[in-house]
Amino acid sequence: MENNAVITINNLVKRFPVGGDFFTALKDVDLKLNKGEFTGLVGPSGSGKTTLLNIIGGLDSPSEGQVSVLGQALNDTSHGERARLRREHMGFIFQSYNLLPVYTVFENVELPLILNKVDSQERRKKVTQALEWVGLSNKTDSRPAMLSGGECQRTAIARAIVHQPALVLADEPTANLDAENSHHIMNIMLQLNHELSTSFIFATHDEKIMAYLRRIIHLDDGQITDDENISNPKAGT
Amino acid sequence: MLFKIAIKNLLGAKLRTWLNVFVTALSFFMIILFSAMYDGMREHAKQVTIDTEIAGGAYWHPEYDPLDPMTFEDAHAIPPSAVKALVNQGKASPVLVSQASIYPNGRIMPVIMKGITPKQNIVNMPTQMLAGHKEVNIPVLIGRSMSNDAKLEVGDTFTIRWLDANRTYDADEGTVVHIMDTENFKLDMGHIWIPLEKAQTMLAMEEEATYVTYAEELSIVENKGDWIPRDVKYLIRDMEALIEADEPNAAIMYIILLCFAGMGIFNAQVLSIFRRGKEIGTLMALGMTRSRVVGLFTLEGGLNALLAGIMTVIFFGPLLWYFGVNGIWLGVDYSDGSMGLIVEKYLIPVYSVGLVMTTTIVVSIIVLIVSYLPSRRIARMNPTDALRGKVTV
Repeated sequence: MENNAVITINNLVKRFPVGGDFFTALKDVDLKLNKGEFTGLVGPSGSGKTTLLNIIGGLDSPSEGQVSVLGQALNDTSHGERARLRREHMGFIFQSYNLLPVYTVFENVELPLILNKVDSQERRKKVTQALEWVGLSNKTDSRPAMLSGGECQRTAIARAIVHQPALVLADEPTANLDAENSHHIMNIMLQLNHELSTSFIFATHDEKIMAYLRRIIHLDDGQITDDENISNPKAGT
Repeated sequence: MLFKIAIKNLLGAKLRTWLNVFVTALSFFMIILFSAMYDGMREHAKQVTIDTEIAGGAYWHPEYDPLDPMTFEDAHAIPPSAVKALVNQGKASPVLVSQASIYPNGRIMPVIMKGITPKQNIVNMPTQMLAGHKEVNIPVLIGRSMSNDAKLEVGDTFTIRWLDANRTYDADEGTVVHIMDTENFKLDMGHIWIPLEKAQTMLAMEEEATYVTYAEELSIVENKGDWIPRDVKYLIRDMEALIEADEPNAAIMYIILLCFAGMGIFNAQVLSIFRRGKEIGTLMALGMTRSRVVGLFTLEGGLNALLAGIMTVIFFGPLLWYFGVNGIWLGVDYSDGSMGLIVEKYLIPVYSVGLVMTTTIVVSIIVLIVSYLPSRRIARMNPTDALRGKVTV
């Protein structure tokens, strides 16, 4: 069971300096996520979802407590080691897509593979496959400015999963999308979760997403208020 | 890997890249042009002096000191036979120098009167204009500034008074036969030029000269008697000293130009990099280390400088070449010597290998520094802030 743990968090506290004082964004958070989970961090704005996601992704550091991701204790790792962890084993999906505007769809998706020094032939194969998964094979040469919101987010998903990471962190991935695109995106991610056993964690307050989640962790005012396992999700079964 | 991403970023950014490259190329161009103009001004002063006054050098009468007019009285003799042979072969031109006074429009003006062979072709002066003119007593050639100062025009007559070899004052009427436009104010200001034979007769110094200017690329003759050979290096030593004394000014000007260029490049680069804070955050989220982010942006800066170098050659190269051939119209006439140095109306830039290489290297280093510093600063930021585009430095 222990070997199955992707994330282990104990007594996590995160404070941000505000003026001369501190704002506590996360208070005594304890959490454990296993491989292949399709989990949502749910709560209102300011509840600490994104902060928790950033700490799990090694983009931010905890003020107190222990965070272990994919067997690595983030408290003891350098910036470089955290970068390597993200590069090799994690994928990020952002609310505003964060695609590089000067790159084509193909090049955006190819980027994590270039960072991982994958050879060009292998890169081409994997990017093509990732774009097939998200249904963007016909948009390889388009730039983000030429894509719809849904297409941009699908590109971001392809970029997040192209190197088949163990963990994908998605921060409000459907916030800028309409209902149809949101469902489409969630189905893609659910399918990848099944096919690749990739663990997904979503920070969201979008009801549409919640319908797909297998586990919902409720956050409020920086604390976990509820942690429910959904055996029969409303959507995507 | 970084190189591949840097190339993609540069080519993908299109307008932003070309704007940065253009600013850098413009800096290359401006620094090279202005420094070359400055060098050209100094080089031109030297060339004009050699062309119109010095040629290959001169044999001086042992008493002659051009800076002391009192020596002129005794600085005359028949040139040594070997030097005279050069004159006969048309490879040298004698000049007889004396003090005189002229009385244009009732005023008195002390002048240096120089006798020169009208048909000489050793120095670039319109001395052929002195030939003929049997209808006038003393044909006189003067420069434009002298003409303005003395208010003399072609055809005007005036009295010339001089002291001859017998220490007798004599006077006669001179007539302006030509006004020359020369960039060398030393031939112009306070000078009157008359035919050599006339001068020798007037001064009772038959066949004598004060100095003999010889053609370029001639070696020093052996039988020069007590006449002193003065080579080009000696004759332009004052100008060289002036130029050397001006080196700090040239350096300051170069630094000022570099600062202007640096500010332009810094503005363009910093604006470009800071606008890319979100991109940097994304790259870090995707697993790029801070050092690689800094390396990437510095490399982009280096490629920017390389492209700027190419752009300078392709787009500004023809312009530099055009100015190098045709010169740049200054719009101000300094032929009266008010600059203390010969300054032509069309300034021809001189591009030295040293100037081009130094500018290329220095500007490239500036580009690298202004790429490195802001990207290092941004890379040090919390990635979450960078991701939100919250670039604060």
